[in-house]
Amino acid sequence: MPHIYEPHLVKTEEIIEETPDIKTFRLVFSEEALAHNFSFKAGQFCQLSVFGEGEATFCIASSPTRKGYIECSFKRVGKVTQSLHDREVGDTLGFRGPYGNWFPLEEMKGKNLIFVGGGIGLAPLRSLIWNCLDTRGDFAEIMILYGARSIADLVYKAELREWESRSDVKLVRTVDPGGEDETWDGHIGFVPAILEKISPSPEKAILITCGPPIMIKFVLQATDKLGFLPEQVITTLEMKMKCGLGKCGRCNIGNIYVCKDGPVFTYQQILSLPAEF
Amino acid sequence: MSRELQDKAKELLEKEEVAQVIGYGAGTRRSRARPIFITSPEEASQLIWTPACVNNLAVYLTRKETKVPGRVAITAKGCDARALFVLIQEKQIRREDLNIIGLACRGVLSKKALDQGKGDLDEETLSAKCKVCLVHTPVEFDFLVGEKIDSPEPSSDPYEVIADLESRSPEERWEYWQGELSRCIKCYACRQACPLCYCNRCITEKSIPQWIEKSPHARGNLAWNIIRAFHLTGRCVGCGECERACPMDIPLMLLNQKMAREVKEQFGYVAGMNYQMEPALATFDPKDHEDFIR
Amino acid sequence: MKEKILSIKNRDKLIQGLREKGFRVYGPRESEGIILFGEIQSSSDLPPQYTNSAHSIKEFFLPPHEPLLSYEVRKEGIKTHPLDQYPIPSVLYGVRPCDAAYLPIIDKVFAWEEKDELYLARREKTLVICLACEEPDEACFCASLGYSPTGKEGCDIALTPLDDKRLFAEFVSEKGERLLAEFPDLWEEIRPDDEKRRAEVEKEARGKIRRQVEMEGIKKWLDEHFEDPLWEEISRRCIGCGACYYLCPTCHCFDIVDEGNLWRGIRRRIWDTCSFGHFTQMPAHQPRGSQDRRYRQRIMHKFKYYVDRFGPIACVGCGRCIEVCPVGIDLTEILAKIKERVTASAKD
Repeated sequence: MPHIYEPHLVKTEEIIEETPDIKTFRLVFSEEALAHNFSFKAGQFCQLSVFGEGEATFCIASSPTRKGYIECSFKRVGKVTQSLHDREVGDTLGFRGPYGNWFPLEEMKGKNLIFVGGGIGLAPLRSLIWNCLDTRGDFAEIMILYGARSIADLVYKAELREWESRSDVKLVRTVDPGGEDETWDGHIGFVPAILEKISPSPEKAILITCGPPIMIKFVLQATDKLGFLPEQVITTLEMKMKCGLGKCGRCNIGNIYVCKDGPVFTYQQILSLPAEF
Repeated sequence: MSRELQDKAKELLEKEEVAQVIGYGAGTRRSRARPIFITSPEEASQLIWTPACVNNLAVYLTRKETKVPGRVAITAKGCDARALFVLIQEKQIRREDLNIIGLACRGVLSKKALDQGKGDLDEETLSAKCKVCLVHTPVEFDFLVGEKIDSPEPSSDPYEVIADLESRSPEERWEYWQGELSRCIKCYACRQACPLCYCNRCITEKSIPQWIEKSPHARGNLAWNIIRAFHLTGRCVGCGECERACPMDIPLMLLNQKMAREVKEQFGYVAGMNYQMEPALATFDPKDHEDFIR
Repeated sequence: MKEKILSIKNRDKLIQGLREKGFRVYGPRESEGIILFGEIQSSSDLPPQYTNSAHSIKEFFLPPHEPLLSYEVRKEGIKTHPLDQYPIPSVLYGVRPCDAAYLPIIDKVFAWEEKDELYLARREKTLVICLACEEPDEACFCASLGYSPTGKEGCDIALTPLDDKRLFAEFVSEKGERLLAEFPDLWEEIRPDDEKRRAEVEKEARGKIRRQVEMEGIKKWLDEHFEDPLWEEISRRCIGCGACYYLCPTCHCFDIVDEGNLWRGIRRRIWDTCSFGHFTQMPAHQPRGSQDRRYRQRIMHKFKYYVDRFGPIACVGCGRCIEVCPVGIDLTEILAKIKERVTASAKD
């Protein structure tokens, strides 16, 4: 009888090298039933395992509107991610999920959406972005502001081009000062600074952001300056996790368990969290 | 004697010769003592020196939470001072940053005696390590509390218990250790209490690869306890804190003492007696036992 | 609640009978002066006198290491095998009320939404027979948290010695009541004075508890003082080991590790603790990088976060943390310090 820590098996169908240290895996469930019926909501995460190395937490970066596969993107930073980077197409991994809460799609309907992403932080946003684009009529204006340390560090390069070419999305790209080359035609500056520069209107808007902790911190401050109310700003947080279902205690920070009460939080909720974050 | 200690500490703080005094204060349980950190002269009256002062305070000199800028005074029994000297040898602290308040020591209470609430020192309650102590007076100090005590001939052979184990067959010894180590729960109290386990990242925390399995099963426990004994070889000063801190009553000192004896026999070296010397296992000497490297 | 008398002689027969029915019976056993829970063959294996076992009964429900699954790479891919989890029916005899009391507290987290069947199956298949505490230890403070040396929380059957021949038995749960039916001849009717005597035993035992903590107002202080110099003050001597966490019955945090190689191995659940830096260490971020923050997490989790989410305080007052701490940190002293601040600010 399976217990809650037992993973499903997934096969790597495709591996895309986004940057020198970030890869995206397209995964297909080995179990027929799951392959067709697996459902989740944008914002949720999973525990992927390389058998023999361990499990780690990854947000599901593909949209729930696209059935038959899921995608996860990750940066090579430690034991499990290093091992994932060594995997090949056809390798089998373990999957537990979907866990956590999700982006409040219903509340976002009819509003202007502003996505603000930095580096690998675009991954959880991407799930929501495609979800919204696949149901484009439900939302008003959509803007995506995305930046990375350098051009090489930008993820989802092909999709950035696709978003750029769409007329129903406004894409703003930036790299950190020093990360550009002579061909770069986007902005140059840190993401929070560019956000302030563009100064999107908070009127009927929801701003969703994800990126390195320091970027999130400054983006949240920027939203204050731009007149966004904390309830209008949503982010997804990272915390060390293990079980993903509220038992092991690892992600408990302040009164919340990031795996249960998150990873999606409004700025309003974050203000009530202890400075531990 | 507590008075002498308190006065000295007060003086050091009043004259601002040290920023902090690390010593012992009264614990909350009968007859107990515990580490305290004094930064003002008024607090000096909290310091005590009793047979319940078992902790090796040297452990606090390498922890970032208890480091303060400036010189530190630390009360040290002979065994504690040996740990200080190894830390100096290994360049973790500087001699000039320390004011060693030596404690002339006739012995401390054993863990068992303390658990039973006993407060008086006698043959029964004396800690095993004290019966074979070589340093009733610390080898070096800036100030001595009490009269200098010459270390008498140890009343028992420090390696007696080990000799008994060594007389058993390898199978018997394996069984003995499997039994003792089966209780290990990987709480790392041994490591945290040891003044010489100061690595920022312990080998157990290295995950690429995971050299030492984290699980507290037989294999994981063997791996951990053996690697710790090896990493302390030539460095362990026999303060016994690891064994005292262990919540599962594992006789860890047997492993450390065995390795200490090996180092003594092979290199003529005893850790922590002279910090001007080079550490035995970090030095090559043409007269060394092994001849594969010449 | 049904009440009967179990004579010491019948207690012996009960243990035998349970073993004959296929139960594994565990009880406190003494070895070189240390009391630990181990399998007992008969009541003669029980120590004549003891305060409490050195370790709690936590390991029977959440073992220090536990296999979750084994994996094996075959030509067709990876095969995972969940390992056989069906626990053998067991009886824990002689559990002190404080230790049993931890069970209803921690059940809540393991039954929270996704049910942890590994823990819950053990709970279901284990019968807890408590033995009231007559000689509380120096470090005990169960009463301050609302428990009692003769308490019944978490017990299936609660036994209180009325004298050296007769035990007052209270059948707290359905599981416990089954023993009435399965061993009908072992239970005697209570006598008129028995309940009074039981109350006397409780009163005497309570009177012997030496530690007292005033809990009123502490929760509110914790709600409001996430940042406070007190945390650094009380944790300065903490050396960051896991002793108090691992011996604490209510501490339940764990890690999941793969042990083996890329071809074959076992995935295990092992005890872990927020005392260690690695617990929250991430590549880009470390929210609890110093021991004072980690110690704060201990107190907050037990006396605030768990309360806010599940209700009860995650502490039963067994005192093991106080006994085992190598540097003399005392939880009751910490709570008293917080109480001092509560009282001081109330006066303002």
